[in-house]
This record gives sequence, structure tokens and C-alpha cells, in this order.
Amino acid sequence: MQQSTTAEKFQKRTAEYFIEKAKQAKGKEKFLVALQKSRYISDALQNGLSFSDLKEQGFKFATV
Amino acid sequence: MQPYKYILLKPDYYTFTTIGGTEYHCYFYTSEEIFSDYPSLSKKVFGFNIGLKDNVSLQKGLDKRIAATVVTILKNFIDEKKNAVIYICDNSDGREKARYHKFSHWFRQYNDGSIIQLKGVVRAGGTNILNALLIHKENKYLNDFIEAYEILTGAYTKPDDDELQNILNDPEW
Repeated sequence: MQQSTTAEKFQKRTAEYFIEKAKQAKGKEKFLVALQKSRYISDALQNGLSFSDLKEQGFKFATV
Repeated sequence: MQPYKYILLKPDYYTFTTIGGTEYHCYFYTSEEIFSDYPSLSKKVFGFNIGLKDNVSLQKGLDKRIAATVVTILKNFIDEKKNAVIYICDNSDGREKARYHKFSHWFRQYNDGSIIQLKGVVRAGGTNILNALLIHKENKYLNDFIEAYEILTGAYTKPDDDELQNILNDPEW
């Protein structure tokens, strides 16, 4: 039986991972880190992680 | 145009369902990465994403109420005048230009003039990153955000102290 490979490819990250990456990035490269973070959160939700799971990984969300 | 009624699931996300039954999620997340060299600004920046619940495929056709709803959610968030929002177009499927134009168009159509949109294209890591910074015109950090954003996107180079002194001492400038 063939399993979906999407979930297998998905690698969990913490918010700290992106913060550290941004510290090392210079100038415009910071946008690349922001793009990767945006995509990560989107992918995580599509791969079955919940907002609670993401918060456990250090991501913070806001509403008003 | 009447926006859809949306549900606020504090403190995480907003959700609404279109007349066609498609459920959207909109959320703001802390995004201090871009302005990490500006500590007074970095904590005030939020990324914004729109997603489809269960990753369903979209129905064809134009539903203008989606735009009205998304802009309403954004506007309510930015109207607090505390934070700025950065929207970065996903380019993983090669449709970033379509997203960029659609988002800009939505905003132009439904913004009442209270929110300033700075648009930029940044070349980094061998790819073009299309983005927009949204900020309320009465946000007290407006000028700081504009300067930082323009420096980061390469639209403006801040002169160092010597260069600035030369400019100020130049009678022809």
C-alpha cells in the first residue's frame, strides 16, 4: 500500500529556528527567512498540525 | 460589497465560509525576522496568511465577498494602530505574481485610505520575493517603519554620518 509522502517530507521546526536564521541573515536575506517561516506555518497546518501544536513549537498568533 | 460573517477563534485565527462552502482561515503570526535589526519595530510586525481548510481545491469563478472579508479582517487588525502587517507571497507553486496582484487589487478596492501599503520585490536566495507592508497612517511608528522597510528592500540607502554631514554642508544640495 502506498502511503502519502507529503507528511514524510514535512520536517518540524521551532519558531526559534527561524529567529536564529534571521539573525545570521543580512539585509534582503531576512525576507527569505520570513518567506520560509510563512510557508512553514502554512505547510504545517496542511500537514495536520494545529495552531496549538504550532504554539508548542514557539509560534505566536494574534487576533483583535 | 457585504463581507462574509467571520468567526474569531481567539487568540489564533479567523475563519469564514463562502456561499460555495469553501472554508478559509486567516491568521496573523509574529514575524520579527525581517526587522530583527530594529528591536523597537520587530515585535510589532505580524505576518498574514490565508489558507483553505483541508486544502480543498477552489471553485472557479469570482467571489468578491472573499476580498471584502479578508480586507475587513486585515483592517480591523491594523486599525488598532499598534502593529504593522507584512504579507509575503508564497512562490512555491510559481503563482506569486498572481497573489501579489490579487492582494494589491483587493486592498486598493476596499481600503478606505486609513492604511498605507508599501509594496516591494526583493531578490534573495536566487528568487524574487513579492511582499507588502501594511500600516495604519496614524501608527506612531509609521516613519520608522517606512525608513526601515525602504532600507531593507533596497529602495533607500541611509547615508552614514560623514555622508550626511557632506550633504548638509553642500550649498548646492
